[in-house]
Formats: sequence, structure tokens, C-alpha cells
Amino acid sequence: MAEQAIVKKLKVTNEYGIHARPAALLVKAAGKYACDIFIEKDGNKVSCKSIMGLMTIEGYPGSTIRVSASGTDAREAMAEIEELFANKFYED
Amino acid sequence: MRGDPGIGKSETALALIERGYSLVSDDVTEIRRTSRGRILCWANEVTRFHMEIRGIGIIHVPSLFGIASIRRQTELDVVVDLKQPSGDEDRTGVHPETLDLMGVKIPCIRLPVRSGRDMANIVEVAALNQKLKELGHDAAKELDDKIINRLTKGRVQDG
Repeated sequence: MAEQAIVKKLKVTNEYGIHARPAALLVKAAGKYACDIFIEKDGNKVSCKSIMGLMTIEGYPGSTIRVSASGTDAREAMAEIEELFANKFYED
Repeated sequence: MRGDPGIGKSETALALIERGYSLVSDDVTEIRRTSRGRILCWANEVTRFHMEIRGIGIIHVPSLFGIASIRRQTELDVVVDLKQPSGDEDRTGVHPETLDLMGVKIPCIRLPVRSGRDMANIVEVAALNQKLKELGHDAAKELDDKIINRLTKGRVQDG
């Protein structure tokens, strides 16, 4: 039985948006968990475990993206992803 | 190449030699800083051009692979660290690490070793990419700059 995915809408608040460094932080955070995590924006859905994918989603500064996580450790994974967004990926 | 005993430095070196690259030294490398601020490396005179391969023992590289498979000395351009995977590896190459050797900064690339991974291929790509960077073409940084440029143009204003 598939578990219900946790879905959150998160705002990109750092200066330059989701470029290489934030993408790397997201991938590192997501890579620690077994669950599937996807990032979605404007009909474009990519795995949060793929750097090259994340760099294509046009995570403009100020934009909002949809994050979904499903699997056993989805809650913990989502908390860590949220923290990265909330802290502007530790930039600025 | 550096790394813990048994991680596969000599095996990787051997595969690189088979690809046409040349060996300076195995295990013990003598270095000095040149007046141009570079690090020059060469092998210990007694053991030079020999390697120890687990399961075979000591081999003499130029006898097996020819005179082109060795060189007496070289300048150090990059250090590759073979490591057990930690999950903390550099994923973009935008902020490379360096190592201080006698006051000279040497680019240092950490490569996670997994069974089945062709390390010689990856070390070769790491070295070629480093050479490209020194010639002024830093692919990771160029792509990041391009993305930052696009993202900044698409900035969404509040309100």
C-alpha cells in the first residue's frame, strides 16, 4: 500500500534562487533518506536527489515550489528540506 | 593519488598506465618546491618504477609496459583522494578544495570509491577537467553563472 505523500509549498527566499550550491545542499539532504522526494514547479517535476534535475526547475528567487515526499522517513526528510528553504540555503 | 591502504591506488594507477599514462612513483614520492612556486615530484631512486600489486607482488612497470609508461619526474597539478563514500562529496565542483604542500596550493579532489566503479576512468576525467580549469574553462562555474543569471532575471517580486 502506497503511503500518502507529504506535500508542502515552499518559497525560495535566497538571493539567487536554486542554482548549483542550493541544489547540491538539497541533493545532499534528500540523499540521506530512503523516501522519494520530488520538487515541482510549473508542471516540471524533478527528483530532489538529482543536481542536474534541480538546476532545470527555474527556482527563481521569490518563487514558490511544491515539494512532495513519500516513504517511511518522509517526515524527517521534509523537515530537513524545509529547514534549508527557511534558512535561505545558508546564503546571503 | 592518496588513500587508505587497500583502497585501490596501485590498481587505479595500473589501469591508467594501460590507458597510456605514465608512472612517476608508487607509495613514496619525494617532492620539492621549485622557484616557480610549483611542486616537483619524483620517486625514491632504489624503488622507482616498481609497484606492489596485491596478489601479484612487486612488478617493474617499464619492463611490462614499455619505456613510455614511466617518467622520472613531474609537476604536481592535482591531488586525488580515494575515499570510502561518506555522502558528503562535492556534487557540483563549484567550490573546489585545495591542499597546502610546502606553501603551494594544490587542487584536491575527493573521489568516493565503490565496488564496480571504474576508478581509472574517473581519475582520468578528474585530471582532464582540472587541466581544462587551468586553461580557463571551468564548466561547473560557467553553468552555475548561467543559471544564476537566468534565475535572477526571473525573480518574483513580492506583493
